[in-house]
Amino acid sequence: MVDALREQGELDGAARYVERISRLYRLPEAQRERRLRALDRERARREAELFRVRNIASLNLMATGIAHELRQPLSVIRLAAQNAQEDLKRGDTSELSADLADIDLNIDKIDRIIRTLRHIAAETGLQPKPLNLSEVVNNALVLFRTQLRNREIDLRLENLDHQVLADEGGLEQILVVLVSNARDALAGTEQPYIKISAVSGPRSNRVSVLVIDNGAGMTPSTQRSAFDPFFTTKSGKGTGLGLYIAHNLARKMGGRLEIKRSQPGKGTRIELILKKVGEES
Amino acid sequence: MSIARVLVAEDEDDVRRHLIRGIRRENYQVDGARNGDEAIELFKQYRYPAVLLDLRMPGKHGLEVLGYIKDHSPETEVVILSGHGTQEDAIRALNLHAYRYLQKPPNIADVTAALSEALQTYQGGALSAELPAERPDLSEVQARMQKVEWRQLMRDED
Repeated sequence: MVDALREQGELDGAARYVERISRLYRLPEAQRERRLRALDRERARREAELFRVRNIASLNLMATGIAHELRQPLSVIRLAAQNAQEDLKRGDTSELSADLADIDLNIDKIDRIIRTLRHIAAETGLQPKPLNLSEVVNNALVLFRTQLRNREIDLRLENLDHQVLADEGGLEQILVVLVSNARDALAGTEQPYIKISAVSGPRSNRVSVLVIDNGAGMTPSTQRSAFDPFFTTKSGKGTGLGLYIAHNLARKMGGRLEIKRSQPGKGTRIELILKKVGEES
Repeated sequence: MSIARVLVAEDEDDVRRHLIRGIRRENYQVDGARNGDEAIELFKQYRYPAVLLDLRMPGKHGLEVLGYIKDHSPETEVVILSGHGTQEDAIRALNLHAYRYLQKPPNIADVTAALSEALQTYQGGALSAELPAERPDLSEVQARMQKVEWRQLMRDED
């Protein structure tokens, strides 16, 4: 039975079965411990394998995305340079300045992609510490307050007075991604608003931060790809790395990021789960 | 002889603009489509003899556009220009009778050469006379791809 459950990947079930049988047949403690330790080793091995497979899948997706993203600006650079050369052979310099500007602009695009990738690589140095959520939210919003006011987006902050355990820069970055996505989704929305609120039960060891907007919303297929690297609906204006980075940052801080609800035309509700101070397990 | 009219379907504005400019320099008349649906609409109107087609575009995928063109005008020659370049896409495109498969970032000389050959084939009517009944096997597909492009794809897939 234990072996059958192990085969099916039901390690928790197998462990419960070992406990029950041990009690029922009063097996020696050492025997019970040995069986449970074997199951723990099996669990660790499977988790390591799963982690490895996910990393490979993520790396493949990432490599394909990088290749595609770099080929667009590289195409413009090459075509602009070759068009300029051909025109020069004919003594035509009318578009030379525009061609050079295209090359310059697209080198910037490539540089932006590389800088973002370097940022992802640097994510390993996160240092979680106790933080006041309200302060971090306000710091992240420094970049946005004028923009949101100019676009007449109503910013609502509610119940943010929580102590969370997170890396300050990392948490700020996640919030910047979520607020900028909400801002972009609100283009053309009547009475646009972004609401950031947090809740935590008295016995809960987590704080749930909700970022809600009444903007464009996402189709089910967009939701499925939203956390994939280089996935963007901002046609050329986004890198498609914001939510991917935010998702990874949340995970590395022991939390998680989820799309709780989103519907085209009805807005999006994203939940960021963080560790509460004093609940470090 | 009238100037040949070709279609460039590419969603990235700057890439499309530069492609159109490079092709016009070779004395072709060129129209641009920003996505798959626009490409089909323009194709319905003008029945181009040759089309330069990106694969990943908003709306209809390039392979769908290719399928539509070949269904309605088998003699039209389609040159694929892909930024994603998977082996699977290349084989599917060539199975759908794409004329040539080029990868981004492209050399404008390769693009204009491919279009010029495609137009010659169109005028010669070599393909319109008889399409192969069976799908081409891999060796034929390889032969129809530029060797350098195939090697590049194989490297990308590793």
